[in-house]
Amino acid sequence: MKLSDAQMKKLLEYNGQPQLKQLALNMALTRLKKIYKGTPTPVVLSRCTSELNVIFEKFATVMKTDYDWIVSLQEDEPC
Amino acid sequence: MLKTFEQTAALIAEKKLLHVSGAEALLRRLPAGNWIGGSTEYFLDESGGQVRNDAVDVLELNFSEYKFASYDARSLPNIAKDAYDNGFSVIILPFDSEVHRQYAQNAADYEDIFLKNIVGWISGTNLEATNQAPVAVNGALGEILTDKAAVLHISLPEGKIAQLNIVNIFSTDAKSPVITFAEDGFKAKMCFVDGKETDFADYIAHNDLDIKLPLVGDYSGAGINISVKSVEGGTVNFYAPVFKGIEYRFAEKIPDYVEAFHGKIDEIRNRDSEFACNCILNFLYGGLEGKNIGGFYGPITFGEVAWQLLNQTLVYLQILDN
Repeated sequence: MKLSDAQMKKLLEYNGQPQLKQLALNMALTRLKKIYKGTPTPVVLSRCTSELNVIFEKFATVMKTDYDWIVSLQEDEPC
Repeated sequence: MLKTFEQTAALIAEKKLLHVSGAEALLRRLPAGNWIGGSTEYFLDESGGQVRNDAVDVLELNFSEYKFASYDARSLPNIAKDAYDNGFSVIILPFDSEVHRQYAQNAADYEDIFLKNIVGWISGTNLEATNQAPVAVNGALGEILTDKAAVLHISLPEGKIAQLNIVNIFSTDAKSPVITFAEDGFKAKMCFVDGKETDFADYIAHNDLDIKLPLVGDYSGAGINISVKSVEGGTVNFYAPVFKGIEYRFAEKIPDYVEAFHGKIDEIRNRDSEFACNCILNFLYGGLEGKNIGGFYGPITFGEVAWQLLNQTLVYLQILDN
């Protein structure tokens, strides 16, 4: 379970209601959205991607559904 | 489970690892040992909500690897870094202390915070008593803390994982405009209502809004409540800080809190929890005294922690097979 920078960018710029099950992910994403909104650069984007990937790696068992939703967002949802 | 002072002291003498919530006076008399505690005289159990100063709520924690810590406002940002890689940490912060404010405003930015499971609560007093102080207790060191957080870090055995979650009975009122703030803080004079700068206290008064209903912040799809403490002299005071960049809406009115809790809790298939706490405002505004909400029993608290500080929320932690 690993997001690319492109997937992360899509997630950070998503304006709808994310369908996430894990509260830690909602909170972490909110923090990262604020950071990226303040400095929307490729370097910051990569940092955000890395931070979320560390969380996915650690909690793979309980975050699979959330990961799948984010990946499907890349395929289906417009920004 | 509620126990007498003597029963609790006996468990401490047996070197059990305990989480204890109860009246400040009882906590001060308990012997040092493997326990962490905080003050409250409000509880929820199978027999319903109770106000007691003659018993304490005791949770036995059956884990073999753990460590106790006390944090002041300067060391508090280390909490997640200090936590075990696979486990959870219980934090108790005295209401209106510097550590309460520090945690409330900065926890989301603490190193590793979302890589660990940080659960806990804000300790308080009996609201009708005038001679009490909110305390946290680090029983291992025999410390009664009014200006520090007591923390119990617990390691889980291989094959187990902690899962932290909330029950929020509130949802946003579809008629509420989006409310945002220019600054983070426990109080606000001005806000933006659908983008238009507005005097927040005036807005509440003119729209006859019920301040027993929380502001629900949109955290990437999750509703996080901020409760209004008071409106005084043109300033709106909160029990947890509002944050710049978060969109808030007032919550929809709840006709029956007990029914609302049952509705949410009955949907959860596994109701075994290692720890749970619920908010004093739910207890008071929802008239929970003597009422059973259907599960997730524990202390009634003056703020809840699920990574960040929450209000008007039930927090629970479960241990699952990994």
